[in-house]
Amino acid sequence: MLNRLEIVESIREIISTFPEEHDVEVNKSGLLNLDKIKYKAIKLADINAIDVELKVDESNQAGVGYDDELVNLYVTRKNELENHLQTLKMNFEEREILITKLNQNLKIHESYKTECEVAIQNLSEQADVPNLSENIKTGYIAQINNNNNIIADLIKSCGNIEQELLENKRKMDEIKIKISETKETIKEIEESIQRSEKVLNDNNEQSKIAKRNTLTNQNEDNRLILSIIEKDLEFPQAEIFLRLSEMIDLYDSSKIDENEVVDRLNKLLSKYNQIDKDSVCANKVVESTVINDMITEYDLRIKKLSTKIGNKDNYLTSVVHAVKRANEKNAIDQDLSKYNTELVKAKKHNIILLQTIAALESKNEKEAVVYQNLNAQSNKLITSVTLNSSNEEAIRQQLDEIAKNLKTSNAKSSRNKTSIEICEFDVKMNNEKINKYEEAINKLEQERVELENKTDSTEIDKFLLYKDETELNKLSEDKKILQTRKTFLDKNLEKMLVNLINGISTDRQIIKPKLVKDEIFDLVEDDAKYEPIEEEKIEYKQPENSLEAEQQTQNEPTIEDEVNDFREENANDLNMNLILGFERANKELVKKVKSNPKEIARKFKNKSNQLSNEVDVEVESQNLNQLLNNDQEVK
Amino acid sequence: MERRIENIIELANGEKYFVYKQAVYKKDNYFAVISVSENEKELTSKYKILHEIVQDASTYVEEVADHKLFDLIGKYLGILEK
Repeated sequence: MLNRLEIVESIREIISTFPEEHDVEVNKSGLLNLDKIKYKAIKLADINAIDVELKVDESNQAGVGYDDELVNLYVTRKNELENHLQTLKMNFEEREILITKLNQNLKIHESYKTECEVAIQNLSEQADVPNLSENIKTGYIAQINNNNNIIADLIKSCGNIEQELLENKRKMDEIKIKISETKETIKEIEESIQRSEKVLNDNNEQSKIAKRNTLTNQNEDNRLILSIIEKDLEFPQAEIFLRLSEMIDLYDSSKIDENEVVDRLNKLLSKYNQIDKDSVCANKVVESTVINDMITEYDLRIKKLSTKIGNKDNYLTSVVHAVKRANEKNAIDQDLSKYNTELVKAKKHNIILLQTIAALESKNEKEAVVYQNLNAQSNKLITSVTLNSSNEEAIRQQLDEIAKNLKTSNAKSSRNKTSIEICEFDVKMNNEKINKYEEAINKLEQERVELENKTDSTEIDKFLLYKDETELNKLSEDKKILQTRKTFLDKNLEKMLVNLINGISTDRQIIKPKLVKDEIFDLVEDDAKYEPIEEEKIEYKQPENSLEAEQQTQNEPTIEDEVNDFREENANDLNMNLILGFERANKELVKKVKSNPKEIARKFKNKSNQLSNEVDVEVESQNLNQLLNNDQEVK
Repeated sequence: MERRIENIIELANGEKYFVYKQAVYKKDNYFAVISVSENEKELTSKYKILHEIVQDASTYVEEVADHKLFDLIGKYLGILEK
């Protein structure tokens, strides 16, 4: 048995093998079958005498997986396949005609061949006659050879024709196989459509039962409510019974529909509510109050979390600013240290230069003394030359020596003066540098002071605490977790509001019956809808006094823990299992599964029975408990 | 929704299941599955229909325990013996 996906795949596979020229228009008459499914209206006149026309609309079809698109696809593909089948039949007939023609041609060629052979035989006999001239003989032989060639060609073409015939036969066989496959696919599609029709019918049957049960339950509820009204509030019994029996009679005789019944019961209830609202709805109202409290608690928590998130944001901003300022301060400190080093260097250099100048000046002074001594010596010698000319030559030599020394001393002195000038220039430049550095240092120190004035002590503390990038990341993560928690709370708040609205509406009035087609599926969802209330009620009970509240705050788990717990609880409560992954099953296992579909169907049926039995046992045990309770009450 | 037929699902509790059939019902994915051994070579004795649930970017499955829903999906998939 094929399922929907496999059918679609097999259709696609077949269609992909069709040549393009065989694509044909869709025959729309094929939609008649679909209309039966799609627009079938079922009258439910026999259910409690209520005329309810059930139309299987698009959503219901989508509900069981046969939406318009899919059914149209089936029909379109079915029509295409039928048209293609027709085309194939026509091709088949054409090919049969061709084969007949080829057979006829073959017969003609064979008869011609026989004629040629006879002619050759005759010619051969004639060629053996001795008195014919050699030329004629040669001509005949050529003719024979020519004829032989024609025969060979004919035999070859016969062979080709035979091959073509075989090829045609093979193609015909393939076409026949395709036709039979197509027929099977069409049959499967038809079966599948029938199956879906059956499922739809089953659904309708189940819907009828569910509707009947709902109405019965509602009647039971209504009777119960009336008995409570009668008992607790001394509502005029006769009037109620009168109205109720009137209403039931009218309902049974189909004079009024279920909407009218609901309206009438609501009127009775509103009367009852006017007398004393609390007695019937007390429990529900209490429940609503509890839910309201819980919503308030949720609001508070959400508000608290929002504030926390806001604080974290502000905190992050201030930390970022602090980090920025600290970086600026660091840069200034680095500049200061650089300038100070340079300043010290320049000052040291100045000292060295000044020492050098002092040394040079001292050298110059010495040179000046040497110079004066030499001058004095020279004057003395000149005087001695004037007085005593006998030593003139020796004195002149001494004078030359002195003049030379004087020149050297003069040069030294001049060189020293130049060095001193250079040093003085360097000192001047250095001083300028020192001034510049000092100016920069002053400016930086001023900036630093200003920066320190800007940064208060708390921010510095924060910076010290969070200057590490890891800390900053942690803050961001916390923020994310808070936001996740808030989303959870928002979602649950929304759920609780829905539940509260549902609770109040069932409290104050009887809900009108839903459309039959929706009921069976909605019942499944309704069970799950009320689950979260119970969980939240236990988890977030509001502490009664401030001391308890404080203690709870102290013992409160971290936000991260709460999120994890929340996830785990949800997963456990719904009996959910996380999927770690999918991987293709090995071929042997697939073969094993496919080899015995009946056995597998039997096992699934057993499972279905088991689930059904569990429900029965549960109902029985509830009934038993009820009986026991009743017994105890009686005792 | 991807096609998972003839795949093995591995769950966080260590169980492994062979996906026999797959259906989409009310826009949700359902798998008719058979449990398999650890080495994925033998079929074991659990036959279930699992409902796929996507929550917080993780994918979970829960067993269909409602027999009406089980029958409905079973009939649709053609896996229930008539």
